[in-house]
Formats: sequence, structure tokens, C-alpha cells
Amino acid sequence: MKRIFSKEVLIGLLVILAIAVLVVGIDFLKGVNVFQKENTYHISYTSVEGLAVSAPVTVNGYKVGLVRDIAYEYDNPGHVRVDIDIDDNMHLPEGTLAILSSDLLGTANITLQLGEGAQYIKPGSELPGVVPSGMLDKVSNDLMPTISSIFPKVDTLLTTINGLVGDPAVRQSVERLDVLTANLVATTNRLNAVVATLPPITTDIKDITGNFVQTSNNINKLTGEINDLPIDSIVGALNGTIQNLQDLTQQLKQDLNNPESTLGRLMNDPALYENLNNTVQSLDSLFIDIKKNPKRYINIKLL
Amino acid sequence: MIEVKNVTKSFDGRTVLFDINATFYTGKTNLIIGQSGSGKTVLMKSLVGLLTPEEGEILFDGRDMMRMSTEQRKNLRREIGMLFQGSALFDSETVLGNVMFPLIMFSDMNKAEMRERAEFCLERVNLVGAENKYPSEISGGMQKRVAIARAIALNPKYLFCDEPNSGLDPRTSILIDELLHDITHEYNITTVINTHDMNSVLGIGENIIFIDKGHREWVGDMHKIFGTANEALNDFVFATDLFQEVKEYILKNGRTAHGAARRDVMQKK
Amino acid sequence: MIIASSIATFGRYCLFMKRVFSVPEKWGIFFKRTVGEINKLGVGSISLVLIISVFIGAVIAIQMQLNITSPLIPSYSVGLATRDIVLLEFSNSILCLILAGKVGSNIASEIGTMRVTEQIDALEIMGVNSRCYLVLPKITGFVFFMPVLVVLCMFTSLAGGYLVAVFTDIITVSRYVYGLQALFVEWYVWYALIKSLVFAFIIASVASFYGYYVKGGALDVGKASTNGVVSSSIFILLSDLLLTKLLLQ
Repeated sequence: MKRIFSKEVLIGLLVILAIAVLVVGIDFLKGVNVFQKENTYHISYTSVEGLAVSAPVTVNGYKVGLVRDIAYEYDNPGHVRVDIDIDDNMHLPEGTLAILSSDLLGTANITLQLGEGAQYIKPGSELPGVVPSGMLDKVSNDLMPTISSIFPKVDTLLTTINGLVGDPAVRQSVERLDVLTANLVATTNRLNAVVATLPPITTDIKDITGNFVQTSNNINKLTGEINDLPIDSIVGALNGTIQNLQDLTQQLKQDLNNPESTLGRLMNDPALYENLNNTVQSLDSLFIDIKKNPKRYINIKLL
Repeated sequence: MIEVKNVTKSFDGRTVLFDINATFYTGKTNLIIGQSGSGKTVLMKSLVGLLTPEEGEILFDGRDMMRMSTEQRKNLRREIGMLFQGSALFDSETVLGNVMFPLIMFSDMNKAEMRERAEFCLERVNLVGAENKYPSEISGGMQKRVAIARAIALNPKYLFCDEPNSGLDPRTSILIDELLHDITHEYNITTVINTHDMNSVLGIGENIIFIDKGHREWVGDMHKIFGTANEALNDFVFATDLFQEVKEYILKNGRTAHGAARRDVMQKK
Repeated sequence: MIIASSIATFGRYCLFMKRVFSVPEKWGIFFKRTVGEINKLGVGSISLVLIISVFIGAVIAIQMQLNITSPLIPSYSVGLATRDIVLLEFSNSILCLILAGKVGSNIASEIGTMRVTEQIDALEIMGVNSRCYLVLPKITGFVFFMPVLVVLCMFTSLAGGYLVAVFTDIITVSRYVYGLQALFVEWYVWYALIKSLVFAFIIASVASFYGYYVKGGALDVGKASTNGVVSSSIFILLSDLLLTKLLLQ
């Protein structure tokens, strides 16, 4: 008996607990604060775009309440009635406005702009509702026309650029530039190779220039020595020698032309020539005979 | 009395029971014997309504079970008690809970009367003191006895037992047999017992139906079982040599020896 | 082939259900058994539900916070997203998929074992409508208690997120609570409860069906248990889709 008693009691307790959690939970999620008192106010808007039930109501950025209900006013067309619940402690002075503001994503909330009045608005009464042109409205009203006027200009610009870029000459230049760059690259590579081999050449050049320097020094020395030579006297001596030679040749010439001088006779007398010639001829025949008959002339006695 | 007329049962085209005819007498322990797989269990399940035969009639004191409406069948079921091979006790209930179950479901007694009846049944099966135990806590023999107690709780007219002695030692086996025999005679129940135990056959076989390969091969009682010319029956009976000797003894002396032995055992319990 | 056999199974299931919903023989017994089933299936699942809810609620809150990096999305979205996920899907569909495993296998193996040990045959022979006697209390009990589990799950999940806000600086408490209350649609709660009732019915009935028609031994009981869980999970997801279309559109 006791076992059944505790089983059923346990189940009953759990069910009651669940129901309690359900009710309190739903109220909590709705934002209804079960334990705090709240006041209700009514607002009449011309547009509640983006506003949902349970949207927050804020003052100076601080959440003081929630939107409780949204209903269309059928007896006052063009208006929508919104009921909001505000924390009990929040007193709204006269002149307070309820501004419907929406963020960039479109969700709206109500911002209360406190008024300057001395009296407080009684709970349950109506607040004036303001629907300002939000950011999106500004976008459509101001930004869009400006953007629209820019569009044709941007369009022409783009067309021109397109034309330019589409031009075949540009294309070709680009291609050639490509080839050029390739060549440049190759050349630079080669230059690099060459420059790599330069170090020994530079040493060679150094040697060559060194030689040059030496040679020019030598030349300098030589010209110096040449300068030092007694050229005048040498030239004088040479002149003397040449004069002597001239005199000699003159003499020879005189002698040659004179048939009395031996030289002249040697030169001019034909008899001498003939004598010589005859001698040579005889000699020649003598030698031939010797050759033919060596025994006539040479007697070699061998002991 | 239960009459079985021309009952045929098939499973998926395979015929298991061929045109069975049998009579089970009131106030007697009726046995269905045969080899394992001969169709005994199928016949028994058909008798209790767990299986529906394709042809034939099963008459419970003249009422054909197959042609009954669901309501009539439900009422008939209240008159039936069944003992399963595996006891089939409800493991979520105590022994007492199990025995009281049919009383709670079907009788109009109040709590005290039910409890009294249940305790009486448990006493009858010699199982006092185990009321608050769960089936998993008692032995096989005790479970069988609880199942019998449950089967007789509502004072059934028909009692069906599917191999009541399986898994029991010879002594307990005899006890169960004698219990069934006594209850049958005491309350005038039509008892149908499915068995292949020769001890039961010789002990309580007041009406024996021998089923072989789905056919009814032989009908008789324990006195007549040894002198038959039926080959299949003789194969079954004389499976062990022991019964050859028993046969000779009984042919010489009648049932006396075997019966005396059993009575001895009962007195010693 | 698979579709044909699935439809055949579904047909058998419908016939089974028809027999289950018959008038119980004795109302007193029925109530007693129902209370027993509530205790076994419902109260016994509470600890599992609470533990799962706390942790998953916390994880959802953390993951929402880490994923909201765009400056256009207000920072209180964490609370809002957590609440909506919990209310719409987790507290009913996911919870019921989990319970399909726990409760479903419990029911299927219990009834399957009863079938295998001939206890159901014993009931039938006694003249008891075993379908009604065994299955109806389970269905009734579980369906009755399911809303309790769902409500506790919702509460504990949101509390899980709240605890993350309190004990770590991943989320700020005030923003989380603000988000919980922002744009709250009350209908979601009732939608979740309605769905959970349907799912509870599916879990209990499908598992019972598979257990009832077991043929064989221990292996088949195990198979029936598995099939029961799988079938009820699929069934749950299908009806989730159907109900979402009906209730939320």
C-alpha cells in the first residue's frame, strides 16, 4: 500500500511541477515579470513596419518594458494600436514621445523620448506615436537619387575602358612587351654570366695598363735621351762626310772620263778587254787539254 | 468432455495433423503421447484456440469452438486452465500475484476472497510459504506447481497441460502426476496432458491417444498399451529395455506393481 | 520491395493498434498498470532528460555565441537562437529520438521476452486481451507523462545556457536573458507539446508492436528491440515534418 502511495504522489508532484514551470516559463519568456508591477500605455501608429509583440521598449537605451499587443484600429483606419507594458518605477512626464525605430535588419523597437512636462502621464492613457524616417527611408530618399545620377557617368567610363582594353593594338603591345621582357631577362642573364667572368679580365686589364704605363715611361725616357743627343755635331760631321763623298765621286768621274788616267783607260780602252778575253779563252782550252791529257803536264812519281 | 472430429492443420502447405479424431473424457486424465515433432503440441494448441485448424470440429461439451463468436470464445476461455511447458509465470508478479491474476481479471470476488482462494490453491499444490517470492527465485518444480495453482484458480472445467514433467526429477515428476490425477478426479475436470514420459503413461494414463507423424495411430489406456500389434506404438513404448521387463511384469501381475511403487512414493513425500 | 514490405508492416501495425484500443476489462487494473508504467517509463527517464538538457542547452548557447560574428546581428541573438532551437526542435524531436532508444527498447524487449516465454499465450488462454492489457497502459502512461518531460527539458536547456552565461564570460547574462524574451512566440511552446504527444504515442506503440510479434529466442528479441527503435525514429521524423507543415505554416 505504501509503495503505491509514494509512486502516485511522486507522479502527481512531478505533473504539478511541470505545469507550474510551463506557466511561469511562458510568462517569463513573454517578458511578463510575474513579480513586478507594470503599467500599460497605448500608442496609435500610422505604420508598425517591423514591430513584433515582445519587442523591447527603451528609454535612453535602457529596456524598461515590452510591446504587449498590436492590433489594427478598424474604427480608425490607417492607424494601428500598440499596447506597451512599462516597469512600475518608470514615470513618463508629459510630452513623452514613443518613437518607432528600426535597426538595419528591419526589427523595430520603441524608444521613449521623455518629455519636459511637470506632470506625469497617467498609466493606461495614450502616448503620441512618432514614426521617423529611418535609415532605410533616408537611403531611399536621399542616397538613391544621387546614386542614380552617378550611374550614367560610371556607365560611360566603363564603356570607354572596355573599348580601350578591347583594342587589338593594346593587345599586341602587351604581347610584344612580353617578348621584350623575356629577351631582357635573357640578356640580363647573359650579362650576369659575363660579369661573373669579369674578375680575371679585370686583372688582365690591370696588367695591360701596367705594361702601357711602363712602355710610355720607356718612350718618355727614349725621347729624353734623344733630346740629349748632340745632333748638331753629328749632323755637321755627316755634312762633312757627304762633302768628301761628293768630292770623291767628282774625282772619279773626272778620272773615268779622262782617257789618260789609268782608271779612264781601264774604263774606256777596249784593248784591255780583248786581251783579257783572249787570255781567258786560252786558259779555258788549256784546262780542257789538261783534263784530256793529264799525263802531258803532270808527272807524278811515286816512289 | 472434449470431442475432436476430423481436425486437419497445415503450416505453409505442410500438413501437420491429418484428420484427427479423439475423445477426451471428463473426470479422467487423458494423455496425448507421441514422439517429439509428431504434432502433439499443434493438437494441444488447436484445442485451446491458439491455433486454428483448417478443417474439423472441436466440441467442448457440445459447443464447437471454431464456430463461436469472440464473446463466446472469451467465456469459454474462462473455463479453461493451461499449464505451459515453461510454466509461463508472469515474472513481474509474485507467486501469490500470479495465482491471483485470473481471479482479479475474471472473478467478482473481493480482495479477501481472492486471497483465500489463491492460498487454497497454493496449499493444494503443496506450496505454502512461497507467496511473496518471484518466479525467478524458486525452483523449476515449484514454478510448475505455481503454474498448476494458477491454472486451477478459477475452478476450470478443462485443464490442459503441455509436458508437465519436463525437466523434473522422477520423484517430483510423480508428485506432479499424482496431483493432476487427484485434482482431475476431485473437481471432475477434463484433463488433457501432452507427454512423452512413459512413467506418466503407466501412472495416470486413463485414456491415451497416440499420435505418430500427424496421424492418430492408437487409442487405449495403460492396461492395453503393452499388448498391441501397432509397430509405431511399440517402437515408442519399448524405446528402452526397462519397459520390456515392466511389460512382462505387468502381463504377469497387472498394474499392481507399478501402481504400488507410485503409492509408496506418495506416502513417503 | 522494401516499400511493399514496409507498407505491409504498417498495415499489420494498424490492425494491432485497432486491437489495442479496446475497452479494458477492469478499469481498476488498467489504472493501476498505467500508474506503474508512468513510473517505469516516465519518472525513470527524468534523470536522463535533465542531464541531456542541461548540457545540450549549454552547448547550443556557446555555439550560437561563437557563430554570431557579423556586426549586423544584434548581440542578444544568442538567447533568442537558443530559445528557439530548444522550443522548436530539441525539446520534442531530439528528445523523443533519445527516448525512442531508452523507452522504446525497454518496451520492445519486455514484451518480446514475454512473448518468447509464452506469457502472452498464457494471457490469451486465460481469455485476457493481451494487446489491450499489456500495451494500452504503456501508451496511455507514456503519452500522459511526456509533456512533463518536455517542459522540464525546455526549462533545463534554457537554464543550461543561463549557467554558461553566469559561470563563464562567453555570454553576458543580461544579453542572454534579453534574448530569451525577445520576439517570443508563445505558440511554439504549444506546438512543441502537441508534437511530443504524437511522438510519445509513436514510441510506445511501435516498440510494443515489434515486441509483440517476436518469434524465436533471445536473438530475435534483440532484433525486435533494434527494429523497434529504428522504425520509431523514422516515424518520428516523418511526423515531425508533417506536423511542422500543419502547425507552423
